[in-house]
Amino acid sequence: MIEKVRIRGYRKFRDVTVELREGINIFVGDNESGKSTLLEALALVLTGYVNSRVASEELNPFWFNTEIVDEFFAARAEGKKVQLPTISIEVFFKDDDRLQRLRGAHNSDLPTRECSGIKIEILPNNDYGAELEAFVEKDTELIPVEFYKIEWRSFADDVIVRRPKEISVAVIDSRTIRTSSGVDYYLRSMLNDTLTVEQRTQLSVAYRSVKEAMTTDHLSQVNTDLAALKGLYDNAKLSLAMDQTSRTSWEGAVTPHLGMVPFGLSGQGHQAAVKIMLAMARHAESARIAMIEEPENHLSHTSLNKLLKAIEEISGEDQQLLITTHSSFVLNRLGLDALRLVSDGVVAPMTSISNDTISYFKKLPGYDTLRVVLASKVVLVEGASDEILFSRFYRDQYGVDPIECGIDVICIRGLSFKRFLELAKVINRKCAFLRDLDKYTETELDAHYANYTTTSIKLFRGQVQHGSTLEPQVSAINDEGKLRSILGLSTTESPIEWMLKNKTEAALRIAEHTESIVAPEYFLEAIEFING
Amino acid sequence: MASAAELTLAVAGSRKTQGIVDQCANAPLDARILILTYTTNNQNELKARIGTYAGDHYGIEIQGWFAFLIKHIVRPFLPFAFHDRKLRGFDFYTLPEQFQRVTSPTRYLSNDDKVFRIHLPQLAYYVHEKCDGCWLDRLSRIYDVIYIDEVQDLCGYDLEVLKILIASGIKIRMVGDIRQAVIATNPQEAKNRKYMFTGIWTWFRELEESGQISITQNCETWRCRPEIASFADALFGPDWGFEATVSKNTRTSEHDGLYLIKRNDASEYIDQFCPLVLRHSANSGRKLPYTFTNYKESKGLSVRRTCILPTKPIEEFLKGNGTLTVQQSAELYVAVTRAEQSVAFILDDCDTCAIPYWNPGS
Repeated sequence: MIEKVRIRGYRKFRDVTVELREGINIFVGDNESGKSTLLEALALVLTGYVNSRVASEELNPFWFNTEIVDEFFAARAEGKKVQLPTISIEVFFKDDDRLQRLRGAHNSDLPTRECSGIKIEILPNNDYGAELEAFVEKDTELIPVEFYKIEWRSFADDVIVRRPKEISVAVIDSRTIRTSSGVDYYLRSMLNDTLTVEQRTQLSVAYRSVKEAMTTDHLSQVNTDLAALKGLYDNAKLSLAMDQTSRTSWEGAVTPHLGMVPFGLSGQGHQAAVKIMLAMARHAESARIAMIEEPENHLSHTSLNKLLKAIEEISGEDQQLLITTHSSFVLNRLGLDALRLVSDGVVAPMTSISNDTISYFKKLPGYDTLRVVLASKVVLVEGASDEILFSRFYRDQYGVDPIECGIDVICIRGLSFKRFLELAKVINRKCAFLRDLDKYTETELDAHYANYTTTSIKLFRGQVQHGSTLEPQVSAINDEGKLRSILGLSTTESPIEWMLKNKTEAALRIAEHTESIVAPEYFLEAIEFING
Repeated sequence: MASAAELTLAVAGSRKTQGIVDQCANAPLDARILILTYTTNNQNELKARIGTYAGDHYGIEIQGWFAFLIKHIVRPFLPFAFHDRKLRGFDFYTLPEQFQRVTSPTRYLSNDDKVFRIHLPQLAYYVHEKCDGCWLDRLSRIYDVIYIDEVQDLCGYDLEVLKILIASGIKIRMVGDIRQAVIATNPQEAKNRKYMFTGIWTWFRELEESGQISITQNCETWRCRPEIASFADALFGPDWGFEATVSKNTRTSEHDGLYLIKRNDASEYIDQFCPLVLRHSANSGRKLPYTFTNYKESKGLSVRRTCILPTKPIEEFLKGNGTLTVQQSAELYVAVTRAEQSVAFILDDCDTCAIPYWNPGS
């Protein structure tokens, strides 16, 4: 099991240490937040491959953290002789009998600590000192990667040349198909990890004999004809035989099929599902790690449900899973406790959410928990009319919709309020929540939420004398005639009665009307709080 | 309780190395076995034999003693001793850095991170102390058993490391022959000097007394005929506590046992019997036209016949005029025990000697 990863100088990550837990880890974040880069960095250090290609062939100047690169060139421009930027990715493993050979003290932990682990470092190659300096002298802002070297070593300081067999890594990425057969490096190594030694040996022997039979049975006539060719050098005979090099082993000749359809031509959702199946079937002799990118892609709701069930099963079998997602459904189903928030190259520490709340959202995975997680500020309201009016009153104050200020107004049912507040609290999200008094008094409602309010999470509610819900609160402080005209009511209709019967429609009419309207005091307070 | 560490003291020709090879061949196929020995010759011999008899065991690794110190102690855990240093090579020739402090990296490492051979065992010991012995846990989880062949070659700080290994509870099987202690990993090392060469016998007996190892003696030789074996035995007095060698070689040939050869007859003798001709070193017998092998270098060889050019002390010893030092005895022991059927000494004027002269034409 991976205990932690430290990434320095790689893309978004200037210097980040991410602690992982057993089982499932879910990384969520905005686009470009770095969550895919995190998995990419892990795949790089664990397999030596990036995007299914050998790292040394893929190395390019954009792997380097732009901040560090800019600082380097700025320092050089000032005449400071700072050294060229480097990249370092380290994976620390939990103590494991299978990983002893990777154990040693060559890691960046201080004070010196020994454990199993591997690291990859991308450094200027000292053999090319002159070339490096000549390159940097030129008017460039790019790192001369052609004069860099990649050092892949265990914490025991042994050079690693291919993925250590003690570690099995499954990279499942449903975003793109990389090869026409759909079989990339990761899938091939997963297939290999799935078959037993005996099965692989059997296949390899059988394939060899098929090739031999091809030579003796079918190529012999051709060879007889070829032998008749005159004028060959030294009178040596020309003949054809099957290629027996390892390049043409059975692995290169087989391709997985789904039903009757070749893997590469199957739907992407299906491909992902197959890869996850394969990841599940890997043997336990190695430490198993699976990385799954956005499992929700290309899948219908029903298929996604099946897939998540499979993922849950893998995680129960001493496999470590790292998942990125944009879906609240995925997050809720797999457990909010697995949530790791990534924003702009920073990964937030693990959250501690009560088991109660975790299982609440597992049972009701439709809730949009990710909106709370990803918004910079959150306003929780309990009905569509509250949501509409909050935005209207906000616009009245600031001239723009709240979302443009990074404020997400989320409408949730009364019962799940506390669950969302708990979530907001553990991820330290600034949150205003607006509640109707209903049958409570002010003090009763305050007491009810006392455990959830902090300096950044605050309850806003009306006053009993103005009514138990939003509509009476609005009507209490606005002129009846003005309301009637905003709502487009005839003089015989009572605005408050109409509003109570047509809550959402009333809110919409108010929101769309240009006429000014007085906002309830607690709305104004909430707007001021959330904007502060 | 049997100790986890066992020493088998084996006489020349007792198939010491083959014993290790046989145990490996009989081990479960997935056994994780490490075999250590000091000399390159013996490593190659072991590799060849393991390849022949236990080629289906993929968990067997053969390593030199120094490679072992580097791979399992110094390289992985060096940062505990010297933060941010890495091992990037091996320096054979640098002389002892006796003016560098034990705690200073300059004692052990060159500027370009090569470890000095001369101080490698001490560095291993220093790293052991600094890393709190954690290499032992790592090692014990990588291998099921560790064999050390020709263990008598170890000296200096090697013995400190070996002592720690023995105390660790890791299954250690050592094989060696004290009487053949003519090579040392680090002859210039002052540490444990009294235990160098044959002195290691005292070291082992102390460990046995304190219950840390058990010693068994394997006294059967499949090589040397009884006359040769008992001559070799007599080189070490009873104080050593070595059991008498039992010869299993009952083969007879036209010329068996021990002989003296007059200098003038040597050429004829060598032509007739084609023995391996042995000398002490390149400086011995320079005027003689024979193809020599040095005593020490003959270690490990097995031949039908040998012809030995004695050193001055050996000449006196054969004539009954003097005794040999322990080191001289060990060298002679190696030379004598190469032969299966016959050993001849080139020596004039020794008519009183118990060993008969060979008569040309006989």
